[in-house]
Amino acid sequence: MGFLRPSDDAKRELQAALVALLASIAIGSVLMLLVGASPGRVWWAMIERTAGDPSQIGLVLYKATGLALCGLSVALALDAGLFNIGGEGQLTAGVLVCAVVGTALPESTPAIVAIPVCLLAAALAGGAVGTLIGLFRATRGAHEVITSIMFNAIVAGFAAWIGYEWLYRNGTTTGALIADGAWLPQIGLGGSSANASLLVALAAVAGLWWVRSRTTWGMAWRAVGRDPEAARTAGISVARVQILVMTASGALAGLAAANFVMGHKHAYEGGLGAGTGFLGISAALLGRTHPIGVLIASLLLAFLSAGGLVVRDLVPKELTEMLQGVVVLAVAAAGPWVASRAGAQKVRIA
Amino acid sequence: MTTRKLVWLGVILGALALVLVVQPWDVLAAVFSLGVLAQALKTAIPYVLAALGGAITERSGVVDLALEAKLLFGALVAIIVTLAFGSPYLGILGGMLAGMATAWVQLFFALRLGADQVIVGVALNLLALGGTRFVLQLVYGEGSNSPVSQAKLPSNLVANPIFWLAVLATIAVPIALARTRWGLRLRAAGDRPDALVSVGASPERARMWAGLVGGALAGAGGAHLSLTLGSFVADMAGGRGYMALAMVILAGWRPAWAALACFGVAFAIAANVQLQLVGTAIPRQLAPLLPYVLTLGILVIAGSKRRPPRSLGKL
Repeated sequence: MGFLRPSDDAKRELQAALVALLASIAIGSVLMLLVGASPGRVWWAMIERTAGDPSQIGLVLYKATGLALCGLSVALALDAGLFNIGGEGQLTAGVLVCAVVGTALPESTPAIVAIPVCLLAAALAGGAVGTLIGLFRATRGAHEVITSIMFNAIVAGFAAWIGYEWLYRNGTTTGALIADGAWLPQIGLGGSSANASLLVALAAVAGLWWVRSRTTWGMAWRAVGRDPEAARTAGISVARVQILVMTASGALAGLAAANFVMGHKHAYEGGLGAGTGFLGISAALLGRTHPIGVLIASLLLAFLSAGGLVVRDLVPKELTEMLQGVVVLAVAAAGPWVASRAGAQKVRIA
Repeated sequence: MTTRKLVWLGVILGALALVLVVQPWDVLAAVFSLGVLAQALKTAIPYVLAALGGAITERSGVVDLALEAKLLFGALVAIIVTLAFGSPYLGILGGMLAGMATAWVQLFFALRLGADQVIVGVALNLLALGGTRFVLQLVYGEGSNSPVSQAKLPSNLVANPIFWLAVLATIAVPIALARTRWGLRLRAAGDRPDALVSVGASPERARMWAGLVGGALAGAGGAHLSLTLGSFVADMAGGRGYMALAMVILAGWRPAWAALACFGVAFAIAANVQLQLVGTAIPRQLAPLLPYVLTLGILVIAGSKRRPPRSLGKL
């Protein structure tokens, strides 16, 4: 069971995540005091009201599914030294193409064909956006943060145009229903929107974990992320890794369409899944870019998001929205802080 | 610039010209009019101030992705102060202070704690989105809009002090960077911090001052947003901060060119508003994308010809 024993690196990452989590809870509690609520009461109510209600649990799972896929997208890119904040645009592209393909399929298409086809379409769409971002970074040096933001706006604009021109029905912002075979079944938790795309997310977590830590591909992209020059000297094509990683990253975000289109709305809807891409950044950072970490972080952030709604009689929901930003800031600081404390100890021993 | 790049640029500009030529004459006249020009100047103010602020911070060696947050917090505090004291001029001051405070937090995390500067910037932007809503809820009991203030900045550009601040900054910042001791230390902090250390100066201090000035400018840009509207609307920065940074990068970290690029973006936006009113064949969801597509195109084509400050992002 050697691979289960955490290395020093892993221990430090876990420490950083815990420090960030504790700091966020502390700051959150201060904010609750500011609005005149009792933090203990609020946190307990969040836990109690969620755990006892199947539809709340379902809501948490539903949010966590989309978050996990977007979080994996950001985490994968970060591992290769790329900051892909274009999850919003990649998700929108995936949602759009998935829905269009889903409605184009004949009604009699069996699920065994329809589901993989739609999933592939979603992944390819998100991946295409990712490829462009990676290409521009690798060949022209255009920083992916800026190009991601540009693509978010461009994809949103085109999606709106396509929606209004061809997809929306009868003055709504919803399109036609996708073929029956492409529907993903609900999990059935109290009528919530939690659905079988959770399996897609879990498969992605497992798959990414395997490739990341057990294959040479994983070692290659992590080497590029740690030190591109050293990787280049070792014979790795940095440009190729960057383009392939960005493609996969975009594809993961696009796959989140499974949760929103195939598992929930079963049609294209303007703005479907909005906000998940950005929150995925928080999940990736809190999870320290480790696939399992991202999964746990997604569940925590989803719990926070759903929990904010369930305690809105005690604190305004804007408080939990703000906490999402606090978490990212806390994580950004916790990493170096934990590392510097470890470094200091080493010096003392010497 | 190489022949190939010139050819590509020519293709882009040619396509633009073609789009323009195809429009009927009255549409062209409507777009290239004084009214649109004035509107473009007004629209440009937050972009220009944010870009100048970002350029200062980046030239000192700190990645400034938190422009969006500075705009948002600047806008929020400006309207709160104006509503509390009835004076938009005090509001401008409040906005600038809010921008400086945001910059201080950014620099604390980046320089003191050593956090990744890109992440800190994005984190602050996320924080600003939720945080401004939270403060709205706390102060006014409503999380999406502030109350409307009767006291606001006049819509006439000439009477708007932030407009003059933008004009002054566009002239003063490049000169300050190039010819003052402060500017020299700032640029040294960005390009050769070891040179600063060898004369006994502190790069961190230079970056701190640069960041605070940059934050004040960006905060003023944010104040313009809320004080000309008369209220704060949630998420009202609308991506201007990111666009401003893109302009800085596009301009090779040169403040004057960045300001010009921002005016170009503002003109495209103002022209688009006019086009929508006059009626055009370009779909209304696609027309506003022009600045984004152009930015992307130029960033990709012009490539990394201009280098960023050598110490950008490093401590």
